[in-house]
Amino acid sequence: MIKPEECLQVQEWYTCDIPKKELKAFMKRDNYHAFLYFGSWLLLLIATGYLAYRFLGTFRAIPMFFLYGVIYSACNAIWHESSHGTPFKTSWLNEVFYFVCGAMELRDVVEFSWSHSRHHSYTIMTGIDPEIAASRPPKLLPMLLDLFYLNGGLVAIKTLILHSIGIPTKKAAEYVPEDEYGKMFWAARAALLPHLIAIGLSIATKSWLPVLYVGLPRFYGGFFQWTFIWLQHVGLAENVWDHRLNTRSLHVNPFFSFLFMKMENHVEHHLYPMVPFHALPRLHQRLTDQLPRPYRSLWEGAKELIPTLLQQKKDTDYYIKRELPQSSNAA
Amino acid sequence: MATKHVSWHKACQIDDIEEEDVIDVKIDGKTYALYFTLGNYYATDGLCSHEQACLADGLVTGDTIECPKHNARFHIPSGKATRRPARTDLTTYPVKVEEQAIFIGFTSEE
Repeated sequence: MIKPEECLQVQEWYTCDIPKKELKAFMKRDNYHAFLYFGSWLLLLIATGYLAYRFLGTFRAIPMFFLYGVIYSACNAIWHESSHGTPFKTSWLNEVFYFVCGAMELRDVVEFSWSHSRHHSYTIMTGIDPEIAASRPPKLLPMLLDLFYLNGGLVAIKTLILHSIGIPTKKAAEYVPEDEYGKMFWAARAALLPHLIAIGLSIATKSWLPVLYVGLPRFYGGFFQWTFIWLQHVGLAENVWDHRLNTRSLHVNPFFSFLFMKMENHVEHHLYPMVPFHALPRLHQRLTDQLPRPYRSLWEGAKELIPTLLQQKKDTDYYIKRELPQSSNAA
Repeated sequence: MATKHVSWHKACQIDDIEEEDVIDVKIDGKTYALYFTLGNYYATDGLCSHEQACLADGLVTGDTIECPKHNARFHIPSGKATRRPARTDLTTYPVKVEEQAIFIGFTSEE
């Protein structure tokens, strides 16, 4: 297991100037917002899935299955937020959605918990953060394949299979404590099971339908989620102890904000991971004078990111320098 | 046969801590967390057993303290780690209230 404190000089992350009592008010949990969100997501999933089935045999099935896949792929955002335990006030509800959406994401809850803890402690610290989406120089073909989860997805499947048979992957061994391996193996088996059932049903019924509804949607519908995942950190500073420099926040339309579970407020999330998704926009408003300007859209972020990636192919020291407000403190 | 002796150290005044909240208290250079929740006062180690984040920056919900760094959770009355990535329990300390002041007790053997 990699011990980060042996690899770098650990410093304090930058924090904003906000009274503790006020910050704690943002952290408060309830069940209402999560029921509203998860209820809407499940309804949309059922509705698009039903319509896709109704349109089978017609051209309309294609866009409807794509829409189903887009809604399905919001499991990425839900699984992430649930891993923090923040959507619901009632703990076990968080754990249920964490497991279910984790399985949809082809990840197990144990491995990701440790990976994500490491990511929050050492965000974009090279050689330590296991969730750096693009290294320098960037590998563009795998990134393009990941628009449909065809790189990361296959790695995730391989990891699930290896963990299911009791073999920890080299990557997991960097951050999962050995005494958690047993739980990780069982979590992987539980996450793999619904996919094996879907595959078995497809084979038994000689129909693509079961896997078109379970498993494959994360691939064919993941375009927007992956675009957002790249825009969280890629192209920005590495090895800095200030999330305002290595993380992006964006303004997006309400549909995307729903798909991303308000995690487009990503700087705010990294600064204060205790704050539940529904409070992030208010937190953003409160801290706006201390944070860099958020990008106006996914497109504005992508327009800056693409030439940056191409430049980083030639010059690995090149990165996007976010402009900090003059009134704020340096890290 | 060794006998146990409790020495009491003043932590704060009762007005210093609100209901369902936590504050940090430094005694002899060590950080402790003092809680007021469910009508009672409690004290534990003040730093998360995972990566030593200050629990006073965390969130108290009922009998649970959530660490601000990775959302690890502990059961306040027993100190038991209840949510990953915390796996080591917090040490708990006795608390008493005397004349509007809160005291944390440290046990030693004589």
